[in-house]
Amino acid sequence: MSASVETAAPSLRPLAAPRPRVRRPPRALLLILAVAALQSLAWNLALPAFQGADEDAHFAYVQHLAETGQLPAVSGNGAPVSTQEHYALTYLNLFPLRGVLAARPAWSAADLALMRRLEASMPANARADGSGPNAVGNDPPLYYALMAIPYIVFSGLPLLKLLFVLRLFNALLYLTTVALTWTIAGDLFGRVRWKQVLAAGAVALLPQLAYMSAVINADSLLIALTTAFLLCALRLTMRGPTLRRVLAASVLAAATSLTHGRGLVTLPVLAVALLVAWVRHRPSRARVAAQLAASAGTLGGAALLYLLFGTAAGTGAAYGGQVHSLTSGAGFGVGRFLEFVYRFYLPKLPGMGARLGPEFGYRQVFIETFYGAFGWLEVRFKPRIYDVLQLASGLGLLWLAITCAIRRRTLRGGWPQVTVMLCLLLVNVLFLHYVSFRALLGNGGSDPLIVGRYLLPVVSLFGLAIAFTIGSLPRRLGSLAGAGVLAAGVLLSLTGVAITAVRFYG
Amino acid sequence: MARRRLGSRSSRPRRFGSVAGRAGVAGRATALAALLILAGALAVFVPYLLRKRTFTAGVPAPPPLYTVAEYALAPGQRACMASVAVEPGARVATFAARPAAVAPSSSSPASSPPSSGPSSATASAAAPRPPVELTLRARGYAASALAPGGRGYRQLSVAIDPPSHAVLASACFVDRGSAPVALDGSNEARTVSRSAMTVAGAPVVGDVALAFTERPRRSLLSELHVLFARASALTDGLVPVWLIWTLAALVALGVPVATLLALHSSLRQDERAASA
Repeated sequence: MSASVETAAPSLRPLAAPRPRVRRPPRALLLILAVAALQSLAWNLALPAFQGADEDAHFAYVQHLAETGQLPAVSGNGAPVSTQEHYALTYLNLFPLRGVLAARPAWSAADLALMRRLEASMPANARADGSGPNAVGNDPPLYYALMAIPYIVFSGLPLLKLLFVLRLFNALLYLTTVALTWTIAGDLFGRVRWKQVLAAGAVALLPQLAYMSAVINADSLLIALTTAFLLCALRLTMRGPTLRRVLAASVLAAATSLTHGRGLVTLPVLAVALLVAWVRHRPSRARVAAQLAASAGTLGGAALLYLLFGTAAGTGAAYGGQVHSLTSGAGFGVGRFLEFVYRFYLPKLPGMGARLGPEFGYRQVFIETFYGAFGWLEVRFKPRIYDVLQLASGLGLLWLAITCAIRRRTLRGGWPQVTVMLCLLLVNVLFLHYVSFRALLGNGGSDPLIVGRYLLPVVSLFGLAIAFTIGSLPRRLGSLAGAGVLAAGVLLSLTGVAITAVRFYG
Repeated sequence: MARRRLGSRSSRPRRFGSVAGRAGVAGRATALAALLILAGALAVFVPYLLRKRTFTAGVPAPPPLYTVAEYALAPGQRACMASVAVEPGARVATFAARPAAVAPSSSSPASSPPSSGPSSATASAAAPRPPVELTLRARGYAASALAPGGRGYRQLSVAIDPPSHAVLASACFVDRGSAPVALDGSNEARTVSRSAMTVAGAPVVGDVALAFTERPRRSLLSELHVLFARASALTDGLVPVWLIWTLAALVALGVPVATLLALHSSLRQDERAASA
């Protein structure tokens, strides 16, 4: 019958075009995302309002932008937070709770009734009067503009409910970071699912990252965008520099720069990725010129947007003067800086002078505040857990180095990807050292400024390094080692949530 | 052009062993992870859940982060804080006192905060410390307790009768001895609570550090419902307590189980791809 129809009406077109096959996400990825989502929910509940890193200031930024369409000021005589947020911080004892282990939030029914009465009797502009000075007013507005969308949609909710809902939206950025790490692992290692599970699982089960998913903080977007940027930069070098790929990487580099000053580290990495891609794939000069123009145009457009933002915020200087403070001031010397970096990792050598700043180094940044220090850094694991993590990290790095030596031919073959990843890591770490050094010079050595969560934009490299190292073992042994890493991640993550909940509610 | 993959000797998973042997890789790895999680849970979480501890029933005014402020009271004088939440679970009130060498002539006005740090007004460690009475008053609720006198600095814990439901009360400390006493507190902007304080009727900056605890010591497991109720309260009821119980069970079981399933599923998928 069908044959006769075909012969009778050969020109008939099918009524509907065949549906394109929709690729279902792999089951293992969905499971890892479920793990991440559950953890984020748990953190959202374990962490009372404004007890995440600088959350009060970040929320105030979102609120002011959403309520007034204007950015909060960096300086001035206004209020740093709105009247509504001030009520919550004061009357629920959330302000004195920050960083003080002996403090507890006001959780009783009488406290909540008081807060509800206050919110019901607030003046009309009580949500819009937090004009600044805002402690994070230097930040560019991309994250806050994004979070203003759910804020506006749910603005009818009382403050505590609204903050909970906003944190749920913030958690999407964490899920994105996990999914992107999975994708990068797929690109680098091929469709070897267990390595993808290991890379994405190590990221999802990093307690510090899961905790940050439940904190209103621009870092969440910075982490997701930097991971997306890494994916695009890698594809640029692996698959070749098409105009689309160059634009994608450039847009993401621009977006990270419009999210936070620390996002600027993607710009030199973009330059290196483009150079590597052009050397590796040798496109025609005309194509190179077109791609260069597209990239420069994108970044120029972002810079223009930023200048408009600067004018709106009332600050003429880049990033509220932060860039200027990093490039000016007395006391900077290359030798002194190198000594500072050395002392960050290693003990004092004979002939070295007094240390700049407090005893603060690898242990505090790469171990304690990278794996997990919660709340306002006052909620921590027991010291022996950090000891174990430090030992495991040291052994892991040694193992990684040995693996790199053994697999040097493979790495040489993948030099474009290796170059991009190394570049992102080194630029990021070097930038943090430089910021810390400058800060210590500026504040008389009192505050080194950096903490481990500033490493989270390169958290995908952490997962990829684990997957590469363990994935290079014979498969049976590797799968067992991977099982051990994931089990440790599960225990560490759940412990982090539990000690935080007990600290605040126990 | 074939792209080189990092971390694998070939772009495809290696084939090895028999079908039964290969199935065993996924099973063995998952079993090991499950065993480690179970062992960790038994070694860490079970003792953590079962260990008896004292739970807080509210901290109306926390201690300072850096520098202690001392609020000195002359015999018979009182320091009162408003808007102090007292819950049905609050059985013990805790505050710190020390003997003060010099009696304050009058209360410190709000514009001049009380002495702080190792105060010159503090008597020697062995000096007698007068008894201090704590009174709590709210509509339909009154309680008082006397912390006996002694010598030197002491963290004082006094048993109180809790209200039948949470109330916002006034809390007054009264020097019931014949010598001045100094109460520890905070006048740091960072740690001052909402509770406005007066000393001898005059407003002062800061508060006396005061905490309530439950009694007797309980395990975390038996107190979970209280913790969840507090977490629910701080979402303003958006997440009800029953949902927190559900989520807690989901997290406690779901995170390990989903991780194990992800590992198992991925290893099996690789094995199928290798044998295809």
